[in-house]
Order: sequence, then C-alpha cells, then structure tokens
Amino acid sequence: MASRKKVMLKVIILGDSGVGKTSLMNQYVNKKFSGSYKATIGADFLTKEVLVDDRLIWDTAGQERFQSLGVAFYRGADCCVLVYDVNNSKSFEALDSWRDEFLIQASPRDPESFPFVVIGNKIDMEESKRMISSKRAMTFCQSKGNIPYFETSAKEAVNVEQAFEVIARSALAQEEAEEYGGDYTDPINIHDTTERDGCAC
Amino acid sequence: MESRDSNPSKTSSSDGDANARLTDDHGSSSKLPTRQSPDHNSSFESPPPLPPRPGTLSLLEDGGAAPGTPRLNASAAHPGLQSRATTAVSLAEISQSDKGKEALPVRSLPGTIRAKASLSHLATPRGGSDTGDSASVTSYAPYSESGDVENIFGSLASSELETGQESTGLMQFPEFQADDMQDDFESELEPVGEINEGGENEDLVLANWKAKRKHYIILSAAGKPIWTRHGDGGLISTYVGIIQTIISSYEESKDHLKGFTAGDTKFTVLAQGPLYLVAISRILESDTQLKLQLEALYMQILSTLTLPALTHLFSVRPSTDLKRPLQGSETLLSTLADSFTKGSPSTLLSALECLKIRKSHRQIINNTLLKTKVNKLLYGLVVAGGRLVSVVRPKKHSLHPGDLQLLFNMIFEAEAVKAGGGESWIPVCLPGFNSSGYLYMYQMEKNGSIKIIKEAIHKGRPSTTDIVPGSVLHHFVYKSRANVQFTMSSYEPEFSSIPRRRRLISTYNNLHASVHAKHTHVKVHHCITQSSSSFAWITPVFELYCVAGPHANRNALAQSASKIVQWVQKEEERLFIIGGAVF
Repeated sequence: MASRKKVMLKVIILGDSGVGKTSLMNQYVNKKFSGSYKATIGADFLTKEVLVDDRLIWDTAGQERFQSLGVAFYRGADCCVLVYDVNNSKSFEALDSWRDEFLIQASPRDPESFPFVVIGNKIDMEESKRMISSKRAMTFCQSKGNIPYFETSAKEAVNVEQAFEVIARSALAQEEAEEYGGDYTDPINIHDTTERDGCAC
Repeated sequence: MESRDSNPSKTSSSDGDANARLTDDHGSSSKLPTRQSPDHNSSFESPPPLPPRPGTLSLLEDGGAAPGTPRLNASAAHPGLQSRATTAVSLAEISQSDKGKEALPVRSLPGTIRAKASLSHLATPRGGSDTGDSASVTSYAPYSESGDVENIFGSLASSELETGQESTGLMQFPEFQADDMQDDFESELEPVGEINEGGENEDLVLANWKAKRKHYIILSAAGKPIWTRHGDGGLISTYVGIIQTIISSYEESKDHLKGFTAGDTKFTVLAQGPLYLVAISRILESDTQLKLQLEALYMQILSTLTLPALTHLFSVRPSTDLKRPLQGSETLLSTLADSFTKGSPSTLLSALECLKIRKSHRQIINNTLLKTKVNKLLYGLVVAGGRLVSVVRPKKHSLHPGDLQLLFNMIFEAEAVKAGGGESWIPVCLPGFNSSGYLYMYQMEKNGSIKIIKEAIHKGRPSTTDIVPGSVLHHFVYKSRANVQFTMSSYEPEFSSIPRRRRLISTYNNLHASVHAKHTHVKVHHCITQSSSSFAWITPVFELYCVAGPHANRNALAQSASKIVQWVQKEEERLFIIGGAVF
C-alpha cells in the first residue's frame, strides 16, 4: 500500500523491576526524567508520534512482577523491547526468561523473526559499578538471532531516541512483511436457498 | 443490488448497461427537492437510520468469533426489539407470537367513548384509580419534590440508575431546565480539535473530548485504536490501553464484561471476534439500546470489509492496524454514530419509516421497478428523504432492517455517494443477508414518479394537530409490528432543535424500556415528568408512544392516542409498505 497513513505500533517494554523501563519511555515520549522511583502497577500506556515514514508509534510499557496482565497484554505486539540495568547482572540474566515469557504469551506466528530490541540502561552510573560489559551483552544478542543492542541512559537522554528509532523500524518491517490482501470476492449466489443466508424466509 | 461474478475492483462500465435499470433511486436531498423548495429543507432532516438487527449477529458467530466471545442474544432478552424481515409481511406470524395476551379490538375501535373507557382502564392497570400515576417510575426518585412532578431526565435517571444512587451529576445538566433551548448538547457533534505541533493546546483538546456526552470507541483485541467518534487514535490511546486491559482481564478469566456504570456514565462493551466496541454514554440510554448501536457499528465495519476479510486480517496478524483497511469508511461510522446520538426512532423501534403516498402511486412505482428488473436483481428499492418508497424483492428473500440501515446511511450520509451524482456502483456487504461477500449497489436517478415522491417529501410529516385537531399531543410514533415499520408526526415545531429532539427520543427510550422490560406485560404506561407527560400503548398489532405537555389531562391524552390509532389504521396502506412487490 503506497499510502503514507500513520500506523499505530504496539511496543512492549519488559525487564526486571527498577531497570528503568518507565524512565526510558518517559524520556522518549516526554523528554523528562524523574529521579524518584515509583513502581509501575500493571501497565502504562503512552503514545508518541514519530516521523518514521510518517507513522505513529504506540508504546506500551510496564509489567514488573505484576503477573496479572497475561496474554492480553502481550497479544498483538509489533515489537518487544527487553531492558536490563548494566549495573545489575541479575537483571541481565533475566533477559532470556523475559524473552521466553513474551514468546509464550504473545505466541507470534514466527517466533524466529519476531523483532526484539535489547537495551542496557543506566550507563550514566560510574564505570566501577558496571557489571555487564558491552561485549557480553552483544554476544547474548547475537546468540538470540542478532537482536539489535543499545546502551542508553534514560537519565541523561543518551541513545534513547536512536534506540526507539530502531524499535520503530523493526516493528514497521514486521508490519509491512504481511500486507493484507487476498481475494474476498467470491460471488454470493443469491438464488441458492440452501445456503445459510441469514434470512428468516 | 445484484450479485456479480466479477471482481469488485471492476467498475460499473463493464456490464453496467445490462443492469442499468436496477434502480435504487433516492430523492437525494442535495438535488431535486432543494432546488424546488429551498425553504423546506427541514423536511429533509437527516434520515432516521434503520435499526440494527440483533438476531442477525448470531450468524456472525461461526466466522470470526473467538471462543468465548459473548453470544448476542438480544432477541431473547428483549422480545420487543426483535426485528423481523422488513418487507415480508405476515400478519399471522406476528399475531401468533402475542396470541392470547391482548384482546383489544383495535381494528374496530368503534368510537372515542369506548376507546376512552378502555384506555383509562388500561392506564391504571394496578390500582384502577389515580394511584396509577404515582406508581409510575417517577415516584421513587429520591430528589423528587412531590412524587409525581419530575423532569424527563430525572425520571430517566431514577429508573436507569439504581434507586437511591446519587444523581447530582445528572442534575447539573442543562436539560433539567425544561425550557432551556440552548443546551450544550448542541455542540455534542462538533470536533474536539487537533493537538497542535507543540502540544500547548493538549489540555484544551482533552477537555473538549471529555465534555462529550457520548463516545464510541472501536479497538482491536490487541488494544490498538481503530476508530473513535471524537478525537483521534493518538489522543485516546491511553484510554484505549486501559479499556483493553479491563476487557481483557475479564476475557482471561472466561468472563465477559458487558458494561459498567461510573457515576452518571454508562460504559457498554461489545466483544466481537477480534474487535472490541465500546459505547460511553452520559445521555441516559439503556444497556440494550447502547448494545444495539454497537452492533450496528460492527455491521458497518463488516459491510466495508466482509467477515472473512476481517477474520483473515486478524488471524494472520493479531496486531493488524485496521485503520488502513477501513480508510475512507470512517465517515460512515461517524454518521451512523451521530444518528444514534441525536436519537433515532428507527433504531429504537427496530423498524423503518416509509414515505406516505397513495396506494395507487406506490403500485405504479412498484410496477415500474418490476418491469425493468434484470435477472440477477436481488432487491430494488426506491428511497427518498430517508424513507422507503418502494421495494421489490424475490419471494425467498427479504431485507433485514440492519442492512437497510447501512444502505440508508450510505445513500444519505456518505458525501462521496451524494457527490457522485446520478449513478454509482458500490460493492456492499449486507451482513444480515450474507456476511461473506459483496453485492453491488447501483443507484440512479429515476424520473418516473419523481413528482409524486417530491411532493410527498415536500409535504413532510403531519403534525399531531393535523391529524387530531386540538390534540394535546406534541409528538407520537406508531410502530406497526407486522410490517416492522413505523410512522410518526413531524418534529416541528416543538422538537426541531437537536437538544429538544434528543430529549424527546430519551423520553421514548424510557417508555420503550419500561414497557419492554423483562417480565413486564404492560399494555399502557403513563409517565408524568416536569416537562412532559408521555404515554405508551402496546398491543399485538402496534406500539404507540406519544408525548404531550406536562399538564396534559390523562383522558385527553388517551383520547388523542386512540384517534391517532384510528387515523393510522385508516391510512395504513399509505403509511406502510405492505409486503412490497415480490417476484
């Protein structure tokens, strides 16, 4: 379809509690950062209009260990963002199970090609606190089918735009892979009364 | 309309010549009539949409419905709203269903006196005295001053909301001042505006959005906004996310959320396969009424896409953004939604309205249609001013009111169709007929009996005082149950403004809901409020609803009502299409 109409994309942000999912989203959408921590209960929904081929992105974020949302939350996602804290190895090790959780719940048609993006957040902290090296993270991403990897700081707005741009592009690529089409033009036989025609006659 | 084997992308030029007689003529308001009588635009008010047809949705279940999609069973729950085949007439069928309930000899009302007696008797079904009034819905309104003095929405509120519920929110609305003509409802249909580049006006736009008293939102099960009457996807996506979460959390526990109430706001939910449809109303409509409206919107989507296409899109891609496939048909959804918001007797009664013309004139038009029909014709319709003039149909099919509603909406509301001039071929899916494919709608201007039609349109609907001189009645609607058609008096002058008309329809909504409530067998219902007294009379043959001023004498009301019934019966073959022309 050649139309330049905006498309809504559903992007889900997953990761351990406190890695900065909400902060990333807020930085991206509102260009704001708040130092105080407030656990997301359930989910947050934010929108941002981005010029990626004139399209609109819809971000869905949240999901700590509030496991109540389940399938509906994941269903119909266009892209999944996995976030960890580079200063917290546990949050990195959890990435794989977040990915599995997503694939099970969302059960995309083609799990191999479903677009993920990995983000290592909080690179603004001092180097001595860093637990996960870029190399280690990139090795993980490669092993999972070349997932794009970004290191960001939601606090200092480093790399956030760039990461989300790739997220949007991955989602759009997915969206465009299967344009709707098909032939729905079977003629209706109006003379066939045996057909279920919904008439009370 | 006609079935065709060709691809829908083909235009009419291919074999249109062979079928050019297929007539779906409409006295398009933008054309002939306005030219002739520019000062009579009022008689071309937006056509009442035809009613959705609850029963039809059952046939949609086997298509796209996810397991656990709520089954629609409106017909069972509300037998009164059951719509039947529109133009196939079978009196026997109808009276059978009500056999034994009512023996009022409607067809032979001998005269006013007798009618008056029977009506007054019926008007006080419980007490047989004046207590009948105080036992009406108004009596238990907690904020009622004197028990039987209430205003329209007040009485609605007391019956709609739980007894004793705080209704202060409702009391703030201007329609509580009975004579207020400048209601904020006037601006209900105006756009909320767009958020500008910098987003400075976001609060204002959102405030406009929140001020709307009626919202419709359609979203995918994945939570993507598909269509909303007010605002755009960006503005409402946060709310859509929340709505999706709420609905889904019920779906996951194998439960189905049908709706909920928050203060004076009613939320009604319809889950239809991959789509969630939500109506949010602060104009005091019942769950049933809102659900019918959502079903009609769903039908409109099917009419654009067909059920297999819709199912296919979401089975291939649950994240489908349906906005693109629906591109261009949003205005049809909006005009349909607005007709509900403004209030439509047609939707309320699940019946359609015909143009009043002489029987012989109608026969001429029928015969013209029949003479020129081609082999593959499915239906031929002549419609004018939002009213049906003539129908030709095959013996074995009759049109569903819901499908007609979609057609009417398209013919009279879609700018593209109106702008297209005389002729257009349009593929439409009539979900009530067959939800899986398109038929072709061909419409053209016809010049046969156009003069008669124009005159009838020009004349407009009669006022109550035209029919019953000196009547206390301000307005009435009469539904012929057998014909699934209704007739009504003119909205002028009493109900010409949108808020007034909305209030009138709300009164009818309330009456209708009262007499069709489960387990009620009310035959006559009389309701007095601060701004009006209203009256419903239900028999196996007809349903009559009428409205008079607040101080109207009950006997005068009943007398007028029976005279209206006599008039309708005298004019029956002019007011209604009895069967239509069959081939």
